[in-house]
Amino acid sequence: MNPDSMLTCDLLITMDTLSAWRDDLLQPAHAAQLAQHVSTCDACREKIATFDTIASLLRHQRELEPGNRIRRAVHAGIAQQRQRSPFMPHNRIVWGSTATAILLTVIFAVVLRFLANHPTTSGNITVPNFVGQQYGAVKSQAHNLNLQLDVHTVPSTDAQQGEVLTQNPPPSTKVKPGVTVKITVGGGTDFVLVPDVIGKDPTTACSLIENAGLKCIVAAQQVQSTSVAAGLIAKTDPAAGEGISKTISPTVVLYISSGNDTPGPVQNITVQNPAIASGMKVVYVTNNDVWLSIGGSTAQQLTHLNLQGTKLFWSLAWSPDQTKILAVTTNITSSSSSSQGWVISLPAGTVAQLPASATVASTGVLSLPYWINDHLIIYYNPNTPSAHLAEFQVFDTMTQQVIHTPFDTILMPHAPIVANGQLYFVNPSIPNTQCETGVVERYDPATNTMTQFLSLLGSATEQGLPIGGIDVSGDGQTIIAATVGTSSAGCQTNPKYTPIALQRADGTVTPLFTTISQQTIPPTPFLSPDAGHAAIPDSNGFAQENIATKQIYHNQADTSSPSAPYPGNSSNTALATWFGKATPGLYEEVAQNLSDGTLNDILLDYVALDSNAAMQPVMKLNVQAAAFAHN
Amino acid sequence: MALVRIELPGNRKRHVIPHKWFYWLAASIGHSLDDGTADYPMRIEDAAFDSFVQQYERQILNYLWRMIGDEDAAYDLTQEAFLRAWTHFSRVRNYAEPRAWLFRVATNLALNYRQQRATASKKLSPLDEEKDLSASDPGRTIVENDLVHEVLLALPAKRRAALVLREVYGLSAEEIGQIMGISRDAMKMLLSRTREQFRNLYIARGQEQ
Repeated sequence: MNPDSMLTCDLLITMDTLSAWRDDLLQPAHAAQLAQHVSTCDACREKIATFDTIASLLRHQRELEPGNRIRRAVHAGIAQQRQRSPFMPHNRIVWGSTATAILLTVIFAVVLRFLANHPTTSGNITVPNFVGQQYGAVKSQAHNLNLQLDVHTVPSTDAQQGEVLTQNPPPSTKVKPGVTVKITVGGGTDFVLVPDVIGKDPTTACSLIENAGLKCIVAAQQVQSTSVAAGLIAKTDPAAGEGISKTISPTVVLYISSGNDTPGPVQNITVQNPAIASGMKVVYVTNNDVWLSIGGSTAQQLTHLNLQGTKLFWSLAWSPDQTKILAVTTNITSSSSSSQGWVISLPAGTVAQLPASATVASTGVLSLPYWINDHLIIYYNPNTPSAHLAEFQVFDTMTQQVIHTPFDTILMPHAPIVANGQLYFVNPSIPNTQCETGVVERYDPATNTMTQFLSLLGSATEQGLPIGGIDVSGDGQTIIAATVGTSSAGCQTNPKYTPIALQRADGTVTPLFTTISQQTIPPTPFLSPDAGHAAIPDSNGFAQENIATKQIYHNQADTSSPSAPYPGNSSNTALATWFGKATPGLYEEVAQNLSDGTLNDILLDYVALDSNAAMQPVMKLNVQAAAFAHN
Repeated sequence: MALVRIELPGNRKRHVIPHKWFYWLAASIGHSLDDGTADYPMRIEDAAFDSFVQQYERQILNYLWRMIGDEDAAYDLTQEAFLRAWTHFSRVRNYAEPRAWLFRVATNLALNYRQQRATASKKLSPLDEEKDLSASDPGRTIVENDLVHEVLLALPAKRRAALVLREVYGLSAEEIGQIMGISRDAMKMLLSRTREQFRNLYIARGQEQ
């Protein structure tokens, strides 16, 4: 902050005006004029820089850590209150007398308000003619006459901006002091009326609102409605017909109807190891209801997404700061179906649907979108030549804009993994050919740059398709990779093998479990975040019916003696992922049964790996999809 | 009618009972639905409330810390704010912006705390209110060299609240006006004057140091 600035503004714009501009408190037309002026005025820009500096200083103050202190104290306080009044969270003992008092107060207030607002010909104030006057002048008159104003801004020509267009009661009406006069004020062409979207589905409703030049947010909180079916829009804020500024307050919040009933039953979690489960936050979906369970407790409903009647594959992912959940679903019953995505923000309590451009277009690349950091997500670009030649695209959930990256035009990248704040993925060297090697690329979102990390031992494509997978340790220095072996006969010649190896960024390669060699499709191996453990599906492979057996290696240097296999669920496909920063690590196994096409019997187990590499169950779910965060 | 499903001890059959009976039943038989980690019987509301606390505790704690400058008091008042939220949780959880409600409660707690401290200090000595607040603040020693904190605490409390809510927590001027019971026009002036005062104090105290 400059204490001795000599700069002066030609138009003598004051600090007050610039401050109001910063706080969106100016009329739109005024704000637009000011923006134009500021772009050429050094003095104004210097004052605005001072505001920015103050904001920056405040935001970078040292902060206190809440830890467990507050929650413990609140729990203790609640327990004390419950001992005093065990029946309900609220004290019902005083309810009878309080209710009577409140009822009397409400009746009294209603009567007073009716008397005050009811226009009468016997009052002693004559309502002036406000129509045609500027709002500022009308406000002063109303104040001097002891009249209240109920102001509604509506679209108008720019010439009528700030002008009173209608009023009620009409001019010359005799009223009592304190009566409210309803006026409409011209908002200029910046103002539009909120469209009526009651009864529409959220996607259509958002389109209508965005077509009107406004922004759309779907509230996580649903509302009960006797007139609107579950899943459709029951309420908007502001309401339909209200005037709203496209530049100052363009957001319309949509509330989805939960119907005339409460949500369906909670799909409970079975906690088998409370000590480990207490540190987990699990989010999952049943019947399009998204649930959150903290510490293994009974789940609470986060939102309901109106997708009944469709058969859906759900993917859920926590943001690294654990404040947001990316929920993406694909209709697996239609070959041309597209995905839809939502960002559920826990602090804001909002559910924002991703635009159509930010969702996977085809089931041909049913790969999970990922968070790269707390606001960037990566997904397959729906506009690429074909599903098998899809590109990655990065989308900023804060600005709702696509971020252009160095890998915008790389065909067929796959296996994206985030570690150490950076994104790693496999880049096939020549895509869409039979059998090609590839490299692992590393993308730094801070600089929007991409560098080659290492070369893979085997092929990254097989018959022209992406194949195998990688996992990266938490420090981003070790990769476990499974690819198709490039024998002299070529990778399509059976028997194929899957070279699974640990590779370090310095080029060191440790072969691991090379006997896994009879597979049609290489399974994805999983590396613990500290690189001390690896989990690999055994030689039965993904193509077999009964597969989910994992070999656990508890030391990366030990390539010959894996621990006893962890027996998984009997099902068609299985996935496994490591969580946690060190041993005992948490290990997630998801087993899903697609055989009847309903996706209703996906089983999900969380198991923990202790320091002796023994597996122990943590919790069990029976739901469509799930993801958890571990503090 | 909302239903609650519970499993009673010694009985594997699931019972579906009306919601309001559940509280009476659970309290009567002393049945705990939690996994033993909580100090009180877990209920459906508790899980939701726990999540609610987790979502907002950092913001409320550090807002109060900026408002009163005393670490222990900030923790205590944060606890008080959430206990009030719990008392009204059935209503608060349905608000479109529960955070604004929490900030309003926290603001009132901070302003009352300041008034109580000021009243107590006037009985003790004739020092002016703000200086006494600083002098009697145990957390003050920690932040003596923190110029920003010092300048912030030197602002009148309502100005401090408005500036922090606007610049740190991103509330709109309208929202802050509703929290503090101040009109839009008054808020315009308040924020402008506060920025100017912060700037002047920051420059003046920075030159002193």
